[in-house]
Amino acid sequence: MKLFQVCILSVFLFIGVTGCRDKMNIEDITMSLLLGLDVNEEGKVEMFMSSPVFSEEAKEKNEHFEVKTLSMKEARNYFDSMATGITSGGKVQAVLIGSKMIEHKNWYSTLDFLYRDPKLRLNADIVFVNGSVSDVFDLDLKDKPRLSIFLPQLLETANFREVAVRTSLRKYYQMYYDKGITPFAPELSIVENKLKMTGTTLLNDQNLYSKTLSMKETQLFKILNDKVEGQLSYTLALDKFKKDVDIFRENAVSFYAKDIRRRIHKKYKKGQYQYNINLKMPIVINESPIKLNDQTENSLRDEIEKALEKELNDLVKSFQEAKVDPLGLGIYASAFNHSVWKKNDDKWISFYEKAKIKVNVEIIIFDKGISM
Amino acid sequence: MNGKINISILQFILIIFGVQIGIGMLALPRELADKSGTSSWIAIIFGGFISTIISITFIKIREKAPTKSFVDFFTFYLGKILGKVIVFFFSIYFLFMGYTVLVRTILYIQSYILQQTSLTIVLLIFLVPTFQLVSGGVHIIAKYIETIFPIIVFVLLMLLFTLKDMNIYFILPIIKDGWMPIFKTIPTTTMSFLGIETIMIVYPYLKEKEKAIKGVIIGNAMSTFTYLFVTLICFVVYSPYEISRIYEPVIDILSVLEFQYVERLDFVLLSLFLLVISKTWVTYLWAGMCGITELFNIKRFIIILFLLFIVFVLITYLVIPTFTTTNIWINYITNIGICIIIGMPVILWIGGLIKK
Repeated sequence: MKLFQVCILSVFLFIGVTGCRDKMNIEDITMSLLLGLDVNEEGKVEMFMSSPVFSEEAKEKNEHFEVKTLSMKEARNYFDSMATGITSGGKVQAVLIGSKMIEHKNWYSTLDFLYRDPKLRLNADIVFVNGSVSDVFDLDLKDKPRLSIFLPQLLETANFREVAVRTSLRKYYQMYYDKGITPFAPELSIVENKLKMTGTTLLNDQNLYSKTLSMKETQLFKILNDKVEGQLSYTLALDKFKKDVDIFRENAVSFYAKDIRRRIHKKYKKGQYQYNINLKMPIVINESPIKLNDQTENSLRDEIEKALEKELNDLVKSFQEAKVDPLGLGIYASAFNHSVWKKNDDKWISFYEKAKIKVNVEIIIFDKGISM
Repeated sequence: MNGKINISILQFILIIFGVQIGIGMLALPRELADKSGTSSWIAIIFGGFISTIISITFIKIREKAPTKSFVDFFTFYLGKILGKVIVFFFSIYFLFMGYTVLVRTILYIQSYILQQTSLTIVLLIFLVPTFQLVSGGVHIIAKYIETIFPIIVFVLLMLLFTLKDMNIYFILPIIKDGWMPIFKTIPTTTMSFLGIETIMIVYPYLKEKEKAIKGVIIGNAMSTFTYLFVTLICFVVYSPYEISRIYEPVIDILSVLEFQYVERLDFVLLSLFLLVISKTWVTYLWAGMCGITELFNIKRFIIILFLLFIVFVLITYLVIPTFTTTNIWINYITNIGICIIIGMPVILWIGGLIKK
């Protein structure tokens, strides 16, 4: 009996060992670290892929591929017919999307395969390219590491300095399907043969291009969105301390903002939403136009509050004019006024346009630096 | 009944908990959200409460004849023929439940980890440890469940890391559309507590029988807590519009977990979670085999088990189960299960009355 069991067991195990057809040797893999999608002049969809080459003989340490196809999965077959190894998407770092793509309806459906294949990495960043994706892939960066390594690093450091947002595939999925928020993602441009994160692309509720935020506006957006985790250093020009109109005007103040506390007061009256966004910002002064002691500190604080409040309110107004809600105020609307929200969840933007939104800033200076 | 095989109260609690927590948990948040939106988590508490009451009823009925085995117990209440027929159906139910859970798990493995490997081969590999555990009897299963209990705690703790992307406003207001949809969800949540029917079979092996009621209350409370924990986390991380688009939110939610040197933790955690699910099918198969062997007085337990597994492999090979077909199976089997856990106490009670 014992022998019988052992025999059966070994037969099973032998079948099992030879059975796995998913084996893939690491030297056979082409790791696609960057994916790109764009529409060319003829209106055809193009796919790009970039992967590092680990071979001493190869002069170029990067592989770039470009195919014209209907779907990404089909594109993989074409990639495999050109690449040194089997293409695998488990390590995708970023998905680049050309600016022409987001001017056409239903562009998001081309990304469907990313959400269906469990082996793909959903933490990969979505990046919108200001221009065409092929320019990014063709760029010859002399002083930088290979593109597929450099770009993810660029995204990370820009996010750490809070000059760019980060939107993962997972996050984008959420923003796309949730009716109370409109999607946004970082924007990448080529400026004088250099790659540069130039701000944030905002899309409207139809998932089409609507507006670009500059680097400075992106910082304000991050303050407003209560998503400051890295180092955010913001510079304001204060008119009150302007002295003369030479080159050095001496009216700039810079500060680090951290641990921002945001409270949103919501009201709904006669078909109109009212939001009061109260921000409590502890700041560290890096640069000051005036000598700072306990008295002058207060006047500086008031000036910063006034200037920052104005900039933030302008930003919110511009959001409303462009009919985008990247702050997700609709999510708040659904949370505090659900019965009304439920009836009108498709029309949120028309409510949002008419909403009264006010930003109040309270600054607390908790460090002035080591010299007065 | 062999008096030597005894399980402790802790093992008893963990068996109840282990049978309840299984594949149902992976898709539970989506199913609940489909039924009545994000307020549906309240229904879990009601479901847990109902399940506890039913479990206590089971214990109370079983206390009348504490040491009688599975078949003897039913013939004691219902007479020889009816009792045997019921035990037979019971065993078939257990076996089919075990097989469904096993096939479903293998489908998950195929879908998430081994996309190119054939279903039958994965099934064969999984049947080897299952064979060992089921043929080992209740004390081996109890020890197995006790050993792998920390895994579920670990998986649940890892879920906490996903909270960095949470938004509490997704779940507010707590009661979105009134109480009616919540009450309508209670049957769905009660289904996820299925597994308490195995108390009937495990009870005679329990060493400290006076603590049994305390045991089932703790077991059910643990399951309720686990379901609540998982559902609430999914509801605050996923947007209400998004969650109904994802098949298994509990696996998917782990895919965003990344640490400095470890990526794709979801595969590791899914593989660990397979062990947790294995408790369900192992216990069900053992319970079914118990009934069958006792009913037909079979001495060679192992050969019958072996034949059963061959049948399993053949069915899998011929039917080619998919997510859709297993969904239909699960639907049928859980409905039967609900009938059993509610109908059985009633039948036994009537049988008891007639006997008097």
